[in-house]
Amino acid sequence: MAPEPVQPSDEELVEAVLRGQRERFGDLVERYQGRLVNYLYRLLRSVEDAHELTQEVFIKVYQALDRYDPRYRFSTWIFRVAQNAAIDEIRKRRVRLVSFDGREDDEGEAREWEPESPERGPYGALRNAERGGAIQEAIDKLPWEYRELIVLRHFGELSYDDIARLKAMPLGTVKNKLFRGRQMLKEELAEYLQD
Amino acid sequence: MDDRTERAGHDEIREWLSLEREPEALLSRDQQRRVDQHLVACSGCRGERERLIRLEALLAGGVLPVRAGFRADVMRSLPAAGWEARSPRAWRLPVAVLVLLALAAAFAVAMPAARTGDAGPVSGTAGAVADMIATGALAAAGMLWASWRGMGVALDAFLSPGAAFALLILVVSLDVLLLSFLVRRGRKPAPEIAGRRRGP
Repeated sequence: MAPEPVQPSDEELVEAVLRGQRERFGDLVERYQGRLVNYLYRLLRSVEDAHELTQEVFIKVYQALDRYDPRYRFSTWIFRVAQNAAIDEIRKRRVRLVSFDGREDDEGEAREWEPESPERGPYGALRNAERGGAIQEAIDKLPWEYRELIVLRHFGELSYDDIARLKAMPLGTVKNKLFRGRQMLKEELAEYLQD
Repeated sequence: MDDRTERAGHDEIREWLSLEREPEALLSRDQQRRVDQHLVACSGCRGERERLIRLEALLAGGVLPVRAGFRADVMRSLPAAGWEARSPRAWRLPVAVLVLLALAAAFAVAMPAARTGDAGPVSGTAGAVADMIATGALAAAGMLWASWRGMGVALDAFLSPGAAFALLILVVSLDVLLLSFLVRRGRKPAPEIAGRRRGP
């Protein structure tokens, strides 16, 4: 069997973009788009906003690419940009006096999405919608310090180490907060975790 | 072992349970061994582990798919960044022009020296090559001029001076239009996010 081609690291891709290979930025987009969209979706609760903000994050990162310091991990850097963008967006929403936990009108954006599941038929669809809503509700109920870490770990797919760097926390604190966050989620989602 | 010690033991194991499947190997061998030993005897912690696995699966099933064409949308919306002007690729054209100018200057210097016969072998060869290129260029210019004259004769035969002038204006206008399109394509607009909603 032929060996799998070695994927360039994030830092190598950044280097290539800075050397003038603009199209290599597309590889970075491909690598991070899912993680960023999901991270932002869980914080903002809107599919459209998550995509738009992710696009803005990539634009900001591209414009500041020459200021990226390769001694640090690219993943930590891009998630820091995303985190700041999410906080700005949440502040803007508060200014607009839009309820953060309610669906909005046609011009608003808080449209929820239902996860795909093997369950089919009308009851299956209902169960999927319930489950999707329950996950989001459970996440929303978490205090911010736990919510952010849970979302970074499970939807941003950041390692414990990356989270510790991003949040400037000791690794032990990250472990502890993620443990507590998961305990709270287990209680909230107990109904879906039974046999 | 009293209740408090036993409870503390369970809590510690449960905290470790949430680390045991992490790819970063967050548990030491000793911790993993203690977890395994504890689970053999403790059904409560085994149940806890099952629930943890189900929770992770539940969260993993809640991953939102990225909309189709997202990468292309991002790449299209990328503005020209300030650092691009400093990238090596941006310098290629000016460098190529400079090299051509340097070569032309070298030929210009070498040619008179070759003609006077006091040139060395290198500059003599360069002068001969330059002479050959100059002759070729002269021949090409002559052919171009002849065809231009031929076109002029043809235009004279079919077009009045007024119509020829109008044609000239049309050609110049089309050139300007084409040039403006090219300039506009080269200068990217400020990042416009597709479907971005109203401001705050």
